[in-house]
This record gives sequence, C-alpha cells and structure tokens, in this order.
Amino acid sequence: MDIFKSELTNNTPLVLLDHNKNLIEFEGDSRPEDVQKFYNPIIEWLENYEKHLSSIKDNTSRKITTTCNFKFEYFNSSSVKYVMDIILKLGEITTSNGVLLVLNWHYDEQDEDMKESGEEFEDMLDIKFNYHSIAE
Amino acid sequence: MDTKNVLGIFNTMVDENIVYIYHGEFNFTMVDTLLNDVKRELAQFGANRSTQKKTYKVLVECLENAYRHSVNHAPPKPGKQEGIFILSRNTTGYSLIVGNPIQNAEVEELTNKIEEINSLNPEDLKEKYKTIIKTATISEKGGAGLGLTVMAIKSGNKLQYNFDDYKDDTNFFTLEINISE
Repeated sequence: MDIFKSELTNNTPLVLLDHNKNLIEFEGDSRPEDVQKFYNPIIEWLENYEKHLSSIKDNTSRKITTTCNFKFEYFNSSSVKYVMDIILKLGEITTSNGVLLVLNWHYDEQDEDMKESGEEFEDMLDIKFNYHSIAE
Repeated sequence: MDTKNVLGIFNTMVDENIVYIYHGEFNFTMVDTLLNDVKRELAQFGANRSTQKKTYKVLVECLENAYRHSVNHAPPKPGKQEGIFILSRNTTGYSLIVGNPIQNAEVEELTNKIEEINSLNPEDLKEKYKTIIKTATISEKGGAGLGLTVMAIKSGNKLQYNFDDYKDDTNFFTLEINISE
C-alpha cells in the first residue's frame, strides 16, 4: 500500500496517512466542494491499512501504536460525518488487531467549539481522546 | 444605473452599519472568495478571535445552504442562483443575512424545520445534532441535513427568517443569524 498525502488548501485539510510510521494526520479547514470525492479515498486507505495491520501482527512481537493527530481549524457540517466515520474506523481496526490507538485532538485555545466537537466524538464513539490546546 | 439611487444605497449601508455586502451568484468559488474577504473585514474591525471563529462557522453553513438549496441547483444556470449576503454590526455583535429565491414547494418544509430548531433549548439542540450525525447520509446536493442546526448551536441565538412572494414559482427566503460578542 502507498502513503496517502493531500496538501493543505483554503477549503481542504492537509492529510497524511502513513502506514510505515503508523501515523494519521489532519490539519486545517474541511469544507470541500465535493465531500464524498475528498473523503472516499481516505476511507479506502483505512480499509487497506486494516489489511496491512492484520498481515503484520503475526510477524512482530512488538506492540504497534497508531498515532492520530487531528488539528482541524474548522469542518463544515457535511465533513463531520466523515470525520466521525474515520475515527470510528480507526477504533475498530486498531482494537481488532491489538494495536494501541493514541488520538490527539488539537484545538485553538480560543475555540471552545472545536474542543467540544472532540468531546462529542469521544462521547459518541467511546474512544479516548487526548486534548491539546494551541496558543496563538 | 440611475446615479440618484447611489446615495440611497450609501445611506442605507451607513444607517444599517453594513460591513460587507454581496449580490450575485452563489456558488462554491464565490463562497471561497467571500469567506476570505469576511475574515479580513472581521479582523480589521477588531472582532475578537472567538467571535471571528464563530462568525466564520455560521457563515460557511449559511452560504453553503444558500447555494445548495437555491432554485435550479442543477444544472446551474447563470443568474438563476442569485442571492444577497449582508454582514452588519449591531449593538450585541454581528448579524449575518442571506437572501435567495427558493421553490414555493419548499417553503412549508423549511418553515417547519426552522420552527422546530427554534423551539429547542441548547441541550436538546446538541442531542438533535448528535442524532443527525449518527444517522446522516450525504444528500445528492452534498449536504448532511445539519446546516440550520449547526447555525443555531454555534450562534446560540434563534434563527430569524422571512418569506416574500417572488417571481414565478418562487419565494424569496431571508435568513438572519445574530452572533453575540
């Protein structure tokens, strides 16, 4: 499988999905013109990542940790659904393969709404979030 | 244009404390441009960062709603998705207004939706929001059915609205959201 990378734009976040480093990163605004077109390849990558984790788990004795850094500044209401699906999927594929999931939710210290969005996901999905406020 | 009208427009803008006004076609590219302009205006006006963020969030939902639900969404015809956007300053903060024509047939459903949102307290609104995301599917217009609910939650204020008879089979829909500072 390949590393997935999407550059930051005015309306789409920076996305980095790296199975070698077990690193998932999102940063910026998410209000793509076509939300399905933007997020479907990411969901597809996660499906491949699940297969990847499953194939390596028997060949390694070390515990794998997948680190996710979410640094959203804003996501529109049609992106919310996808962000939730991504977190849900990450929870499932790490649990089923004995992988530790570390989920970091970064938010602007002036943006309580963004912190609350994290808390809502945490509450709805039953996955532990670590919160980090970013000072300007 | 009749130049005598210019002073009238100017006076209205001064009297209503209008910070930014746009009239024209609503589409994705225009939303991008407008958001950048408004971001700059708010910063120049000295709005605090928290108000700027709140305004930005409500604004995105407002404008996306307008271009998704304006008449003749697909296929887009120039001049048919036209609308108006007004950002003004008032005694409690900022007012965002979006006006655009919608099909007469949509008036009742939209009225019910807004009335339902306005009848809920903040806790119930959040519950409604969570229920929608859990069950949402993205519509062919690209929305998740969350826009109005998000505007009410983020602004913390009731949605003000009005329908006026307009051309052909359409009503002119005006939506106002107040952002308190």
